[in-house]
Amino acid sequence: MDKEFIKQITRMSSLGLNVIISSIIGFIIGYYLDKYTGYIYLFVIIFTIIGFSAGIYEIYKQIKKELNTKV
Amino acid sequence: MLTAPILINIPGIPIYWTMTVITMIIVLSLSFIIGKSLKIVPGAVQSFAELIIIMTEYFLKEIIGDEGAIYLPLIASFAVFILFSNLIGSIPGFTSPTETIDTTAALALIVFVLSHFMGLKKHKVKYLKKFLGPLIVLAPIMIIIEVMSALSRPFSHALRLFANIFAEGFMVTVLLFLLPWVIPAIMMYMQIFTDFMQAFVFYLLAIIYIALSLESEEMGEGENAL
Repeated sequence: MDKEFIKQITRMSSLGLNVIISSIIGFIIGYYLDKYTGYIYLFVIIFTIIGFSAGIYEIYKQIKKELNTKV
Repeated sequence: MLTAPILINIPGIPIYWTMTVITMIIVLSLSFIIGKSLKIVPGAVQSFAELIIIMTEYFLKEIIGDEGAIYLPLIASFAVFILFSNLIGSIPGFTSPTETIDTTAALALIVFVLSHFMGLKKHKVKYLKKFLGPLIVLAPIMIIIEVMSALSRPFSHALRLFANIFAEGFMVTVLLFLLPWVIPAIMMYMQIFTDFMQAFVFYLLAIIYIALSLESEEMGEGENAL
């Protein structure tokens, strides 16, 4: 098998999981911040959105890199 | 929850500790035997050990570059340890140590700490610039996003191995209760394939994560310009 192909598969297969996990990390950070500050759901929503965008940003970075190396 | 019967179960000690020690004994004694009886024309076991070392050397050179040679002992022992701890689950009466998240999290944390430490050692203060994103105006938002995506890596690294190995062990156990003997045997055959695959994926991702923190920012910008 082509080595470039194996590398691409491994890198790309980790991206889908990254979106979910960074959302969960954001949720956990927000949950504890809410507990600490006394707000209800404010930080949970903010940090879940930030976590989700972190996952999307990671995909964006990887795809950009992949396209650059191809050309 | 359904669990398969365990052969060696010392009360007071978690099962996966015992299994980790058994795996370590197998790996260490096997490598001791191979090391004692090296031949010019290798046998089956020695060829397998040579295959792992040559493959690791090749991937380190391809992905990290010339400076990747120092990671050979760590990454090659990852490959052997994970492969054997996955495969030991196929033997009736044993479970894989990688079936609990504790083992995989320990392995993923080693990669996480090592990759950031080596990145910091190589690039010094410049390494922290990676976390600020492309624009300096957006830095306060980007630093949260970058830190979060950096934190998500060891989680997904550990979770993938744990979930796959746990799922296959659980599936065989459940099928054994529902449709005895024939279907579980086919699944156990598939299990060997996934064991190899997951060990390989974990091993390759470890190399890729180290390579990602070692690569320099200037080179990336140069590539963007092209």
